[in-house]
Parts: sequence; C-alpha cells; structure tokens
Amino acid sequence: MELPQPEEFEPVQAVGGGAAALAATLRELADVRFALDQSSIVAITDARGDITYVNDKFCEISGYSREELLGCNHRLINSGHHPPAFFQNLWQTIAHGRVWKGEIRNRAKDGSLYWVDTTIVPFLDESGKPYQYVSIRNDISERKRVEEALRRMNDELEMRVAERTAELSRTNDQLQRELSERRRAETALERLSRQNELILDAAGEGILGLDLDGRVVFCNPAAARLSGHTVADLRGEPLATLLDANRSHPIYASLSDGGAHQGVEEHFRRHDGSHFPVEYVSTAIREGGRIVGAVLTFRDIAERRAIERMKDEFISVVSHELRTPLTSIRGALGLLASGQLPPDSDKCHRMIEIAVSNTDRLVRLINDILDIERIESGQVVMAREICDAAELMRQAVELMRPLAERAGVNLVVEAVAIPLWADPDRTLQTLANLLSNAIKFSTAGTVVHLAAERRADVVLFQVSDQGRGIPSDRLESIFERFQQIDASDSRRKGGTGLGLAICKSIVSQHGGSIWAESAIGRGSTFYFTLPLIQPGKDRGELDGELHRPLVLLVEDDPDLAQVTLATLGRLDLACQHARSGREAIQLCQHSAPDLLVLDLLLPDGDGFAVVEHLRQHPDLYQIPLVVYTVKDLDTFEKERLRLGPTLFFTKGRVLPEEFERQVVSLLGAHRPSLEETHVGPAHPGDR
Amino acid sequence: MSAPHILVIDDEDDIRAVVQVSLEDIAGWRVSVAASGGEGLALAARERPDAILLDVMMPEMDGPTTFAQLQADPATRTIPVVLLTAKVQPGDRRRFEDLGVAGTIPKPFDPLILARRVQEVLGWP
Repeated sequence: MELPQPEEFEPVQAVGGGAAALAATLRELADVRFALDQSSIVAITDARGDITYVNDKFCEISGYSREELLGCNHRLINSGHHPPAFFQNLWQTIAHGRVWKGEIRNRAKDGSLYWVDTTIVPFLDESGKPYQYVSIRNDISERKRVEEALRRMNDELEMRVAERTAELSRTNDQLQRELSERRRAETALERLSRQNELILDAAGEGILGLDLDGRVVFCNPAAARLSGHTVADLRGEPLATLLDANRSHPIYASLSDGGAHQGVEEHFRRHDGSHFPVEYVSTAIREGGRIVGAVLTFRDIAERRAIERMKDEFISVVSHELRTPLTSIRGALGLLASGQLPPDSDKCHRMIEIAVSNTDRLVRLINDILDIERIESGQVVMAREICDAAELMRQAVELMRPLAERAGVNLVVEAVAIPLWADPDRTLQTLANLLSNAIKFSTAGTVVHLAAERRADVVLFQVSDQGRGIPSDRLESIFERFQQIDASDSRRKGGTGLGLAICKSIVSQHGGSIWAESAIGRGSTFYFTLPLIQPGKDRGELDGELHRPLVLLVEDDPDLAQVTLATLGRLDLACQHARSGREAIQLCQHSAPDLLVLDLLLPDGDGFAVVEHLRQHPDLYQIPLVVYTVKDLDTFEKERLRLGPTLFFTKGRVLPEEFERQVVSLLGAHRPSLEETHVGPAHPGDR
Repeated sequence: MSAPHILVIDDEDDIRAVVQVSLEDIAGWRVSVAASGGEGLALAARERPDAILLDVMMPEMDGPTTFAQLQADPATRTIPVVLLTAKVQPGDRRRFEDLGVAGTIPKPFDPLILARRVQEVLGWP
C-alpha cells in the first residue's frame, strides 16, 4: 500500500468550506503530521492490523525498515510481555471505535524490548466501522527503566527494611527473653537472699562475716545476742571487740591462709565485759580465688560445759558410792581368805558381817541406780489404777514398823480412805522411803507421823518427824541424787543417797509434786501429792467392765489431727476429734473422755479457755490432759493448764514413741488391754 | 624402826575396821582410828603418829580440809599424809596431787598388801 501523503490524508471529520479553505486545511494537516512525526512514533494499520504506514521514528525504535514493516501485521513487534487479555481489551476498545490509551512493551527486530506510551485512534467509515487505526506512540523506555530501577530499589529497600525489621524483632525477642531470664534470676536471687537471711536470723550459732582487716561486715542476731551487742553496733567493729587477741591468733588464720580453722577453748567478751566460753569455726571467703574475708561461726558452750561437769561429777559420785561398799567387801574377804585371822574370833565374825552388810548395800545401791534411771528415762510406766490411800498408808506403816521398833520410834498413822489414781506399788515405795528416812533420823521416843488429806484435785500425803531437821539451803537439793545431808550417817542407816531422788521421780511421773519443810532441831515434814481418782472413771472399773478408753483430740489443723488420730488409733483407743474450743467443751460434757489431747491455738475458745471451763465442771475437772502445742509455756501458763494428771509436749519435739508411751501411761488403768494391742499383729490375718 | 604407828581417819565404820585389822593383824603395825576430820586432828596432835591414812569424802570436814588443818598446825605439819580414797577419776587424782599429800591409795585395796603400799608411797624401807 502507498504511504498516504499529506495531501491524500483523509480527515477524520468532514470539513466544510471551499477549495481554498480545503487547501489551507490540508496544509495545516500536513504540518500537524510533520510535527507529529517529529515528536512521536506513528503507525497506521488497516482494520486487520496490517501496517499501512510507519514513520521514521517507528522504524528507528523497532529496528525494522519501512519495507519490512509495511504489509506486515502489527503483531510483528509483539513482545509477549502482555497477557492475551490485554490485547483483547485493546482490540475490543478500538474495534468499537473508541480511542485506546495504554503503555505497551514491544520487541525490536534485534529482540530488545522497549516501552511505548500508546494512543490508538480508530478511523471510521460512513457505517461507523473502523477501517484503519492510527497509533501514536512515545518512547517511554527510559522512564520505564527508571521506574523499574526505582521499583527495584524500592523492592530492595522494602526487603531490607523487612529484613532489618525482622532482625530488630529477633533482637527484641532475644532481649525480652534475656530480660525475663534476668527477672527470673533476680527473683530467685532475691528469694535465696531472703532464705539466707532467714537462716542467718534463725541460726542459734553466732555468725560473723569479717573483712581482710578482721572487721565485722555482717553479723546475725544470734552473734549479737550471745555477745550482748546489737547487730548495728557490731557491724564495722574489729573482732578484737569480742576477743582479746592479736592477729597471730589462729582465729585470724583463715584471712591469711584461706583455710578453715576451729577452736574449742576460746572465750569471747560480752558487751558488759564478762566472758563466755565458745567453740568457733572460721572459714575463708574467696572471690575469684582471692581471699576477701572470712566467716566466723561460734556458739556459747557454757551450758554444755556445765552439763559435762555435772555428768563428770555424777560419774565420780556414782563411782565413789560403788567403790565404798566394795572396799569393805574386798577388805573383809581378803582378810578372811588370808587365813591369818583366828577362826571364830570376833574379828573374823566382824569381817563376815562387814562383807554381808556391804554386799546388801551394794545390791540396794545398784537397784536404786537402775530404778531411778528406768523411771527417769520413761522405761518404767506407772501402772495406775484405782487404789485406796488408807490401804497404802497402812501397808507402808506395817513395812516400816520393825525399823521403827528397833529405833524406838513411835509410828502414828491417820489413814484416810481417799480413792487414788496411781501406781500402788510405786506409791507404797514412796511412802516407805519417806517413813524410813524419818525413822532413821529420829531419836528414840520421838514420833513419826503419817497423814493424808484431800486437796482440790489431789491427795496430799505428809510424813513428819521430830528429828534434827534439814538446813533450809538443802531443802531442795536433798531430792537430787547422792545429795544426802550426811552421807556416812545415811549409809550407816542403810541409805543409798538415791531414795529421795527416786521418790521425786515417781511423784513426777504421776504428775504430782514433792517438797519438804523443816525447822532445825524440831523436825522435818515431807509432802507429796498424787492425783485423785477421776469421777466417772470408777463406775466402769468397779463394775469390772473393761471398756476401750476414749480419747478426745482437740486440734484445728486437719493434717496434724490425722497424724495424731492415727497414732492414737494404733493404741486401740476410741477417739473423738474436736476442731474448736467450743466443740471440745461440748464433747467433753457429752462423753466425759478418759484423756484429752489439747492443742492451745484454737478457733472459738483457745486451750486455756477449754481447761478453765472443764475445771468448773464437777465431772470433768480431773480428766488426764496432754497439752500438745507449738507454744513454749512458762510455769504460770502450765499452772493455768493443769487439769487431772497433765503432761506438756511441744509439737515437733516429741517422738511418736514417747507420745504413745505417755498416753499409755496417763491411761494406766487400761494398760493390760493396751499392751495386748500394742504387741499383737497389726491385722487379725497376720497371725 | 619399831612398828609404825598409823592414824586412820575415815567416816565409814566398816572401812576403818578393815584397815585396822589389815595393818595390825597382817602387818603388825599400831593403828589409831578416827571417824571424822575433827576427831582425827585432835588424835594426830595428841598421838603424833608416823603417818596418817586419810579418807577424802567425809561429812562436815572432808579430807582436803582436814589435810589443810594438819598442815596449819606445827604439831602435825610434818606427819606424812596418804589419801585413801574411792574418788579415783582422773580429775580427782590431779586435784589430790596438787594438795601436797605424800600419795594416794585407791579404794578398794588389797588388805594383805596395804601396809606395803603405804611403805612404798612414803618411801619407807
């Protein structure tokens, strides 16, 4: 097809006017096309898209010659960049006679791609159908390149931002983790530090931290208490405040040699200037291998020393007491065995008599030592039962009458029938012992008097003599072992020096007390108390009915209650459980238990209130009581808590076996059935 | 040397009797006895025995006190004293040695050789 010349160019719209006007219009059009060709890439196709005209710029950008292009379909420069729908839209637009605008990527002859901003104008025939299309394009490859570059840069930037954000997020997470880790560590450290502080505060031993100069950098309350200082006062003080010693003293050695050192023979000075014996251990504190100070722990061993001294003294006394009769026996027998004493001579008889009487004395002594050990260690349980004070008094007097007669002493007894809740054999032993003492220290013709009376909840026994009396400063110590006023005098009279100590143990085991009053030259009176029979108790006993003892446990802590009930259950005791003071009182009134095991800190009326209430009750004021508490009780408080025979146990300080033993002891009357239960198999099927 | 004269001070009747028979009948010595520290001091001053056998644990005046009084009296100061004691713990022994007595013989003792033990302690031939 011929390239349309400017003069042949068909106007899109009809133009009115004459030939001159037409010529002018054609010139104008030719100018427009020229201008267009200068600025744009122009092509014209027929209705099928076959190229009918291209300008130079088209040839230039497509790399094809005009000859190659003309007659070819426009698809020649299709780059394949755009999807088919793109061209469908394009064709649909222009085929309907509408102008299409868009950006197209085309392919040049050499295969390179270029972008053009395109406007396609359809030319319509009289019937309104397009018969050719004029495309006017502008090269936008550079813009696209820049745009692409920008896009890439943007993408890259975004990617980098994303990466950086992710990295930041990771770092942040890590930081958060580290932070919470640190918080956890700090909490743990704080807890540990608090625990350490509690341990330091609770420690019974004095604990001091020393710096390299031997100055106190920390100290616990025990260290302050033991030394009579305050914690604040001790801090910063040199160790010399507590100890008169220079730096060569071994207590400082840990600061220089880094080792641990201990001392057992040291004395620390208190704030008031007095001294106390201590045992100490000093240990170096190191940081990174370097010695930075020392920890010094110490304890006051004055009490331990005193106990050791008492023990040594006791061993020494026992040894002496055993060796004395043994000396007589060994001497007498040695002389008899030598054959150097004329047989049947007075000396010979005297030696035999010495050997016999001292052997008896030795036996008594050994029996008494073993007896008192067994009673005090709890191995002997008081076999309590209902017994009559009058009967026991009469038996004791009968037992002692021969001794009284030999001594020319008058024994007077005022036997009173009072029901006792006690071990009859041990009560008799106590009475006999006191009577025997009274007789031994009475002169002929004087009177030894035995009496008893009922006092509140006890029976009070008294044994009086008209002997030489006891110095007032010895009235308490005579109840200790081997503390007789006149050992040789006592021995001559068959005493072992343990009689009163045994009496004291027996009475204590019954929950009673023993004491003496005396006037020098006028005589002494020994008193002791034993619990009265509990009202209500005698009914079943006298009927011969053997019932399971009932124990009421008063405990608000459910766990402790369970443990204690289990313990009591093992003893085959019937148990009731009250969780408050009020409940305890109600249950006591309802079922009059044989034993009350009482906690003190209770809801709705504490243990003191319970005891106070039961004391007012004629049937309940003598119930045997075990006070089982965490509280350290003073004498006054203990007095307020006494009911019947009363024992005090501190929670956590009494062994279950001991608890069981004491419960059994308090319920002594039921002992036979209890012991059967105790030694029998745990389950009937075990046998 | 004629038969030594020994004063025995002990509150235990039976032990005094055994010591007396042991020293008199077995060793052939002469023996005086006192049942207390006070009695012993008086007897020592009056009889000036060759030696004194002194018990430690006695009521009222114990052995060490009696010894101190014997030492305080010029009349008895030179009489050697041997403690005859059932106090035989190591601590007891040290205390007795510090007193300045001639020696200690522990109870129980063998009555047949008691005199020999006293001789040894006192360095008598």
